[in-house]
Amino acid sequence: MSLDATLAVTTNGDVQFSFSVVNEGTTAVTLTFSSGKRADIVVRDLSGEELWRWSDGRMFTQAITRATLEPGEQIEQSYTWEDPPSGTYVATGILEADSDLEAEAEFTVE
Amino acid sequence: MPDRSNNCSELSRRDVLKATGGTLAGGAMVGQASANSRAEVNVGFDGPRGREAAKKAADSIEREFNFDAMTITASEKAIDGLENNPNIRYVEANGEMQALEQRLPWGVDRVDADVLHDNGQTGSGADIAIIDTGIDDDHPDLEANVGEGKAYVDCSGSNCNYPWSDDDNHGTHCAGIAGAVDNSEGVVGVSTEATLHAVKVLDGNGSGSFSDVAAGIEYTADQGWDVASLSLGASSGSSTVKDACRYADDRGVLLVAAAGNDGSCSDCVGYPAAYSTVIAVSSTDSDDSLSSFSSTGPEVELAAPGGSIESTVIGGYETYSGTSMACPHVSGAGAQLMANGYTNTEARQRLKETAEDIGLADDEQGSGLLDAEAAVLDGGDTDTAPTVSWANPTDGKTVSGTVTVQLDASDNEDSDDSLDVTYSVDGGSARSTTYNAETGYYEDSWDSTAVSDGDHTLDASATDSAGNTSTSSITVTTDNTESAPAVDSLSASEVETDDGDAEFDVDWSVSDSDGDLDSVDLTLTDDTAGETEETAAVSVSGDTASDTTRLVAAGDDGSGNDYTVEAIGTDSAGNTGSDSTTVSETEDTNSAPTASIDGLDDRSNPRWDRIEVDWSASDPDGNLDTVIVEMLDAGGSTVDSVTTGVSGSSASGVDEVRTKSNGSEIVVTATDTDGESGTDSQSI
Repeated sequence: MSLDATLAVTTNGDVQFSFSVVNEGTTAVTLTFSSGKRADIVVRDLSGEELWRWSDGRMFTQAITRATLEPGEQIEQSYTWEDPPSGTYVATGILEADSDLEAEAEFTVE
Repeated sequence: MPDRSNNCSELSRRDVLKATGGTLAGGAMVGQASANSRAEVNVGFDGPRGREAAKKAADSIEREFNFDAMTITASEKAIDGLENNPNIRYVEANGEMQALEQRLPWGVDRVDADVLHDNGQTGSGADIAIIDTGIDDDHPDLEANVGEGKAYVDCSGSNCNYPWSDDDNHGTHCAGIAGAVDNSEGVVGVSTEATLHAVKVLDGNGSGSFSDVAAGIEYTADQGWDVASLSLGASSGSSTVKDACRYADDRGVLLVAAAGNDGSCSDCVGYPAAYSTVIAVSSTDSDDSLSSFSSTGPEVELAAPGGSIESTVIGGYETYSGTSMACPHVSGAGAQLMANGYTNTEARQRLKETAEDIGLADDEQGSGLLDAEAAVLDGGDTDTAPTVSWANPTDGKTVSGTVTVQLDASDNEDSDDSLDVTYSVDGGSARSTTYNAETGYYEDSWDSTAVSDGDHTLDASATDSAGNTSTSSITVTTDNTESAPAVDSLSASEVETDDGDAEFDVDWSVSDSDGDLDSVDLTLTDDTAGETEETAAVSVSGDTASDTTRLVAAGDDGSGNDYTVEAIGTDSAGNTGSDSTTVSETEDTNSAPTASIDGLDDRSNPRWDRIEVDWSASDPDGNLDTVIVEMLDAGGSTVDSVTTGVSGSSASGVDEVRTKSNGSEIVVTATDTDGESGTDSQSI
């Protein structure tokens, strides 16, 4: 797998997640998504307990979609966690495609 | 017909670059339909160079003529090139055209919605809410059908003419499947004239909150729209969305949703499709197989085409796959039923009962593949079904013996005596009926003793000449156990009389649960004397009877006698039921005695008037006490008397009365112990 995922987190009252997937390889990669949920973000505390999941409470289009990443190309999606409690957390970005791909980032809400 | 189904499978570099600047979702469904559009054309040419140019342009050669022309299939670009080639005399469209003329998507064809269009069934008058990412409001294949809109999330980008415009493509695609205009371009929908309302609850990335989805469903119900098309879902449920679906269902909205794309999987239908108020639609491919991505489960009610479906997107056409594409096929067919007057419940039932069994498992196809033609055209609209109802017996009634079955059936098209009306008992074989012109009912005799006592289901069925059938079901209770009559009440009261009889009024009532009362026999017995005084027989019928009967103990004038009154009810089968009561003769029914002068013997001498009186006395109640024989003078004064003690009911004697003065009249007075008296007199 030539894809690489990164998760960037910025805290500014709300928490902003930017989940990106880049094709680090030399051949094109096509991703297939089974619904409008193309990626998800999960936030856990340091003990591993899940506190927030972006897809909770949401519904999605139910069409199959595909995206082809040429070498070096990147796609990204932003997500917002509103009104987070103070604490230190681990966020996981999950690509919801036929290829499994995750990225983690630790962050602290003051 | 060329296969365009893979147009969406790959994205151009340009599209992905666009996605790079935006979102993971943004460009994922933009394709290249226009570049790939092909057409079948007739090409006329001059000479070998023209022939070569035409062959070179052709993707395939359909026919070569002996004269200088051929029919080819070529891309639009190649056709453009031929039209500018000096060796080409003409290029003309040949019948079915891709891109240049309207295409019939395979899904619309498969459910035979095109047959509906040929029969003038367009869904005109129906309102479909596309609860989705919005609708491309000015798409040439949708614009004429797009109605009002409502947005619960913002539309972002350059296509947002209205807040509810589509910024994703998904909603526009679904809208085109349900109801693209039947015109000279693009595609055609399942309905072609239903109004498409954009309820935008999903954002440009294809997701939306439970609350927004629920609000969109609520809004659809509040607008009174007919169909809610929900090409969306989640793997976990939402109480609010569930409540919203209930709210809309209660208000007559036909709710249709995508089963989900979690396949292959079992028992994995997503929400809201899995809610009982919603038709869950699975997806099939063009070979009638289940689409590999389709979720399945017991909630699936219908399958519909969802694999590689061409429809409208923002500014063009694309081929998408998903249960999202299956859902609006059902929505469009449901809208046609609603346009024809079906309720949401009726439409749901109709869609299921007319679905085509394509041999998939129940969890995969539900009732089967959507058959829009069968649902809308077969019966229903063109010929109304007859009505049928039970005139006798009626629901809940208890019956016995031979029951006259009477069914009331009628039909708008057929005469009232021409229907095929049958009924069955507990799901057994159909029993025929005969139309009775006098009663206006279809009738039959049913021997209810053929079934055991208890509750039984009677199903009536009426079929008209067009083959439309209606049914009516009732439950009756049979009770054929022979029952004996019962004396429900019995009382006797003494009647005041002035004769020597004891008389009683007897109030009685009898009943018989099987209704064949025949007679009531009453007997009055003098318990004191130990003898039967009177009997009476009263004819009765039916299941209850009551009356008052007077019974007489003739000559029983004695006080204090006890009597028993017995009542026996008898039914026609000879079963009896009885009761008795006692009553006393309490009235002292005294009767006055009578006295009689039976003869006078004048034994007078010159000094005395002497009259020997031969008398008798009687008293019906037998309490004679005394008899007085008197002689009166002319002034009415007693001049002599003889008193005799007597008893019983009769007495007689001879007494002499005399006087020195002139006797004028003899009076005999009989007195009973009650002081009642009777007299007789005779002049002398």
